[in-house]
Amino acid sequence: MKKLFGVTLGILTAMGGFVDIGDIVANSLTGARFGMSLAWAVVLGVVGIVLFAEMAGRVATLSTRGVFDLVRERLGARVALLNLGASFFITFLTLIAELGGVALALQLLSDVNYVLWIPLVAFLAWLVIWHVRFEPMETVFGLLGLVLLVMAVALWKLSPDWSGLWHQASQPAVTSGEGHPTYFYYAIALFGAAMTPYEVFFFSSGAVEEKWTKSDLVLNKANVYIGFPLGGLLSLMLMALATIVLLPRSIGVDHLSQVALPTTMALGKVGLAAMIIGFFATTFGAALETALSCGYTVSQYFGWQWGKMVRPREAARFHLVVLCSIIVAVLVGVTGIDPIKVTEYSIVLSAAALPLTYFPILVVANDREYMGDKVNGWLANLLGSVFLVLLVVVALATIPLMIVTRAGS
Amino acid sequence: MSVDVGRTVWAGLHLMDRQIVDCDGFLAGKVDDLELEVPDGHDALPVVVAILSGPGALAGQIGGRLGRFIASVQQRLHPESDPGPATIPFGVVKRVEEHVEVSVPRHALQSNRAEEWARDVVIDKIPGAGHAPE
Amino acid sequence: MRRIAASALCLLAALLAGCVKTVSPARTFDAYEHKAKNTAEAVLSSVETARLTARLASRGDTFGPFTSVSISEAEEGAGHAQTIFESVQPPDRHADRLRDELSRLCTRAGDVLSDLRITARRGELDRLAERARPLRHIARRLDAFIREHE
Repeated sequence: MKKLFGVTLGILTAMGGFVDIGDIVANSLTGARFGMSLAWAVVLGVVGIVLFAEMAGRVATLSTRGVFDLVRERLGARVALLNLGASFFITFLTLIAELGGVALALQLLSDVNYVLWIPLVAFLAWLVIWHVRFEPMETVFGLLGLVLLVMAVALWKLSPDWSGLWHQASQPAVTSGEGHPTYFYYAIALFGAAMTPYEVFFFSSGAVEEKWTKSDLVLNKANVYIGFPLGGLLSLMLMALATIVLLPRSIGVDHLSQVALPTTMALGKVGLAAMIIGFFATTFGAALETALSCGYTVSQYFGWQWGKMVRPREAARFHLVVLCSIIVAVLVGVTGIDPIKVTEYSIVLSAAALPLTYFPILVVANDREYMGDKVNGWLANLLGSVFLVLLVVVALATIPLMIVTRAGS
Repeated sequence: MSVDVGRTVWAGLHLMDRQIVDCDGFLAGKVDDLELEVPDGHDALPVVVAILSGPGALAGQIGGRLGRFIASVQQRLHPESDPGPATIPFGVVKRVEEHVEVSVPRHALQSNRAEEWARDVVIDKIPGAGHAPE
Repeated sequence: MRRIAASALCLLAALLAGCVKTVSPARTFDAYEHKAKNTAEAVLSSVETARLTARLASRGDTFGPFTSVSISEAEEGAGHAQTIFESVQPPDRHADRLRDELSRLCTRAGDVLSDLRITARRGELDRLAERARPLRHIARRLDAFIREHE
């Protein structure tokens, strides 16, 4: 019974924790612009993150080492440093976006400008990282993120033309008035939002933090195989609501407030309150995850003691990196840079850097020295290899598409 | 000669870039480079005498302009005038597996100085730095 | 290594250049017309956002702060799009007419949006739907403009 409870809790946490500012923005934005015709990109991204997060979780559990530790060992100091540079930059960019997202959610509650909220939000995030144990931290924000399930009620209440939505999703076509480059640019944005590298750094380091052992591999599988797809479903709900309410009104998503409009229309104040709380919980949770990931990647590359499983003074450089990342993110955030724009750039650049993260994971997941008999099966390797080719294609296409479409405008 | 090459490759595969773990289970840096010595005698094999760890050693691995930059930063921040990379004598190495285990606590290692600096100068000044984890 | 670093820097510079919204000139009427259409779309999005928010607010379905934020964001968005469009040099006489037509529409939209923002900030949420009524006509005109210049 207790085991079942643990598994359920893990699944729910993974589900609520899946969504972050990147998913919120990318899914509403594309729904309002392309309807459901880009749903395939979300599905593809979810399959990818499931595949590689499971590998990363398994690798971390068996080797008790973080992903970046192994990246360094496999790629050598030079190449891994390049990889670290790119991964850290993108994770840091995502941290700015998430802090901005929390601030925007608070602005919707208070009508106080988001720029003023950013330092306070950042301080709170640091305080949680400093004081709260790993597991409750994860669980609280993951579960709180589940209020976004209110969108399911909203969808049902709006009683849309389900078969029409399904038709759009299952037989995708480029919306009239949009070019193919723009369509694929946003496909990449959705893909990048679902597969953001920090999720893997965080998930695998979390397995080490929670001291997972071989017997927890079931938990790993349950979290990833059930929790992540359910999280992906939340993403698709955002897309569907935007398709039903925003698209026919020619409303394009430039602000967080617009994302909340469909649910408000369906459920009034209750729906609006749930959405804002959901925004807050998911982005705050993700701010913690990205800030920690900044510390994880750097510390694991250099071999420093990292993690919240030891006292802060016993992982001094790790906490120093986390602290500095948060401080610099605040300095960038208070320049008044638009968090939604930062989000768009961070997810697209994530897509460009995906092979750097996922290639070493695939290699180590096949290493018998670490994995023993728990190496990848043939199916995982086949899918993993197919995905890796896809990731390389996406990475190569991203920057040209970004320039051609002028970042999707 | 071919034996020497084989030996070096072996060290490269099994030691380079591995995690160093101290006797209390704390992570204590990476194997950034190795110090080899060829003993006197004709067909003697080079022997690993020390593990080099920390930015001074890493700079050499990275090379180029960035490597020189890291080295110069390390030299400037170091209390000694011409420090050279931090060394861990191979004598304290207890086991070489997926990680390299040493038989001393990490504060006894030269390469741990930066960690102590971060702890003493920044982290310890923040209230709650010593609070128990889990 | 150096070459990689150099190309990474170039890439970063290109991206940063992309982030900064520069006003590129329109040399032909077609290019200008395209910009006009995009501007109309942006303003229409803001107008419709404000209309929907106003309707929901008057029904008692939103909170005061949310309503204020949503409407002032719409106002800012429309104003921003208009400013950028008006700073583009029209290439010929034909384009001048286009500019006048769209600018007038944008200005009217901006006036109503400002009025809505003021009403919302005063907390008179129940009056918003009524004050937003002129937006319906403006939205229809913007929509027609977009179709005409597609």
